[in-house]
Amino acid sequence: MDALYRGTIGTVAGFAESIVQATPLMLMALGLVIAFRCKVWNIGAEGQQVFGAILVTWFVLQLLKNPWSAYAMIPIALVLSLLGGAFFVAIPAVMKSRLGINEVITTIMMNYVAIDALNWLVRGPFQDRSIPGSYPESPLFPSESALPILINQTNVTIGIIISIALCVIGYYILFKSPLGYSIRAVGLNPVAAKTSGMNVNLVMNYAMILSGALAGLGGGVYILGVTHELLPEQASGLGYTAVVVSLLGNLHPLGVIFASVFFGGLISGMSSIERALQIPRTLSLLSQGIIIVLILIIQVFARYEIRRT
Amino acid sequence: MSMAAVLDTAAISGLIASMLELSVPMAFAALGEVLSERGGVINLGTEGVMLVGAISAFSASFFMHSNLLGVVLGALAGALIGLLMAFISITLKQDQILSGLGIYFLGLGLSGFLYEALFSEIGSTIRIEGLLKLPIPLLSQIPVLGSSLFSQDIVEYLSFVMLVVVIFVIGRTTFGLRLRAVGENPSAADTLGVNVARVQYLAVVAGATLAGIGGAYLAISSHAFQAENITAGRGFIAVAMVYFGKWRPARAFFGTFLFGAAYLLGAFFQVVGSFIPYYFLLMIPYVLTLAILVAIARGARQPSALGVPYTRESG
Repeated sequence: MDALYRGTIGTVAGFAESIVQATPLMLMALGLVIAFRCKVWNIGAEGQQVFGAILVTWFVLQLLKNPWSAYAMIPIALVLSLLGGAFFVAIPAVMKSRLGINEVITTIMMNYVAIDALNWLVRGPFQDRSIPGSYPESPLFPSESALPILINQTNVTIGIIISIALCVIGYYILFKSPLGYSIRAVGLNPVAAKTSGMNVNLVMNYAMILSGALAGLGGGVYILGVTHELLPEQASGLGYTAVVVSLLGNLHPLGVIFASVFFGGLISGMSSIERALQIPRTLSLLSQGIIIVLILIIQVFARYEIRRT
Repeated sequence: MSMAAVLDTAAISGLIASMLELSVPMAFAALGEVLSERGGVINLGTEGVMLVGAISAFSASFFMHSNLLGVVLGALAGALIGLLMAFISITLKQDQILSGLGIYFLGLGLSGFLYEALFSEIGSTIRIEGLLKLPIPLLSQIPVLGSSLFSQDIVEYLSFVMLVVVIFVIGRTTFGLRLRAVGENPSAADTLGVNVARVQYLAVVAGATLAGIGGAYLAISSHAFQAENITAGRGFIAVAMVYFGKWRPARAFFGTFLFGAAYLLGAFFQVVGSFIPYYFLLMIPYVLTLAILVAIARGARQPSALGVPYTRESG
């Protein structure tokens, strides 16, 4: 327990690491909240964030020798990650809205495609060939593409500000705007939404595209803020964790802020427990599985409680 | 008969046998999913069920040196996880897609954790023997088909037996009639005295048992275990094959052979070597799934009450 404490809130470094891990999770989970509220089950945040990161890498590698100024590079890179995620979700989104194909299956298939593409790129076109016998990874990005550090001597970047700001904006969009109203209406009762004149397929597409774009941005923030190079570990499962985070955040944009900090703490805390106690690395994977099942069960009882009173 | 012809028939027979071996895990899972969905419950947790079946079977085979015990344990583990799926989706009436996702994540976590907990100390040579091939007398002498179709192991034979059983149960038994009624119109079935929840529980648990056997066979026939995610999407492909099969057991079952062939094609190019990068070969099954889903979209009518938790109207 001491290790968990030190790895999360016990030390400044530990807390900073929790925030670092929480940043991309927050963006991806926010996207999933929008999709899940519309009852479109985008499970493809993993593939979408990987594709966002791939686009970012492509862009940065073009400018490896002569980087532009950070004021140009970072915004362009972030927008590209957003577009990458949006593009990658567009395929399952259209398959869902035009052909009625189950989006869970398609987005998961797309995840595998993205992971295979990532593994190919880091061993092929994007691989750093400057050192012979090099690892499967891209060249290190120039400092101009690194997100500015927010707190000295930590890896906490302005990414966390972007993430929290987008969660707040997400809250307003989802609960105070006509689009958000349509998204929730379609999620609650698509038949009623259609009867009241909403274009259900279009709303579903919007929700999917928004969620993919945010997932892509999450991937962009991760590569520009944490790794600064494209690694096979870009696909380490953050996109799946985001599913659990969005549910733990009660499918609420502001809830997601807290849930992702909690999970960021869990991820960074787990890695320090694992080092300290030598317990399996996969424990956090298991705890995610148990947490999601518990949430599903507890949700039902919470609903029941409200109805009874 | 020339030498070349002999080699060719041996090669073809070998290819068919490999394709069967690669298809059987998904075939079991697809059969299970048909059962579950005909009763109105989408089990998207099939992938997780397969994973739990796989790690149970692999552990039993490795530590107790009995593959058959492994298969039995895989089936039991599948049933147990299926029971949890049934509890969440039927008793608690939680959204079926979410329930399935929960089961998927749980299976992913359990199999990864158990593998690391049980095997990480052991070292590099964690291999198990496959199941014995049992050639059927006389039939196994037939050229080409004899050494492929009629020289399989017991689980492969079992898959064909289960296909017949599932077809029979759905189409020719009282339970099958109730199952279809529950999947099409649960309130009408309820009115006629069918215990909707019990029928659905049976279907989901039986389906998960089959998926558990599929996972078990995957682990045993692979001889080794990849720590995380040995199924790599096969459970989801099985669900897609239920759509492909229009909820008919035989079509879903044989649909998975397409994927056995796809995995084989990938492995073949990998051995032979080709201009296609290895990671593109790995993509074949996933791209094929997407393509098939597009091709068959809107072609079939699903069970009317699929995905809708049944609540008896009160008053």
